[in-house]
Amino acid sequence: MSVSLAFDPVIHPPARLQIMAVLATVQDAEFAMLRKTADISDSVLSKHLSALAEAGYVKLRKAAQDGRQRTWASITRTGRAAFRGHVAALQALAGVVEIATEEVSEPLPVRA
Amino acid sequence: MTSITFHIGKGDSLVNPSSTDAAKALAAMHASQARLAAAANCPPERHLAFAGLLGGLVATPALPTTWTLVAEGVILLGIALVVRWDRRRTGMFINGYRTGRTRPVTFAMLAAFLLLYSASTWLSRSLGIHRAPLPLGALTAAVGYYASVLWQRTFRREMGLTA
Repeated sequence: MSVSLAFDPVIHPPARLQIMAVLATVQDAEFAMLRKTADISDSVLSKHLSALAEAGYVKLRKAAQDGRQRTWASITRTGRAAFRGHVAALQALAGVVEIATEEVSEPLPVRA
Repeated sequence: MTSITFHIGKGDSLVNPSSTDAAKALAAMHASQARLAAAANCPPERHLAFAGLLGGLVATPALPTTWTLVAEGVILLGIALVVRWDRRRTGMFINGYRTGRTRPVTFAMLAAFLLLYSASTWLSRSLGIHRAPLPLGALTAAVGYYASVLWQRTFRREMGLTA
């Protein structure tokens, strides 16, 4: 499977990258679990989830559980592709994976 | 230190992360995946529930045809309850068919299950050995338990935890 290097400014903030990494692994995750795994506060998570949802990378839904409304998040197809491209770009930059020198010398494609 | 300029818009802004920034971002991402794997850990009763459902499905041909369908319906309801239990316990659901290193484990388990279920049905329905599905069901439960534990170990390793 080929993954294009596509640095994504929407995913670039560390907390968003962590949220996307978790959502790319699970089918869906509840707000409290995301807060725990990303190790951030409620308000910060809420803000980042809204930004990711606005970009079409994350889908949010409310569901009642034990008499309380809970927010569940899942990654979209677009979000998964953007996440893969972004991680590939980071890996290339960090030298985790090797890419041709010519590719590195050129600006990498970006989803804005 | 490698540095690449990423053009992020219509030439109006630039992001210029260094190789160190990228390595830090990746490390933070792996840390969150490790926390996820730790939170997703299944207790022994979860492995047992999964094993029991698989074993039960393979044992159902021991029953008369009508009751087989009822029993399979109950087991399917049990699967839905296990999914619900996972969501309540961990606040997430991880699909067994997810891409990654766990997928070969899933397909090997599925192949073993289909083989045992076919053998169970054939022995009971075609050869008339009506009790044959019971030991096959027990064998399937044992295989299911092992596969469930193996799946979890593989997942934990993939997420950067020691098994």
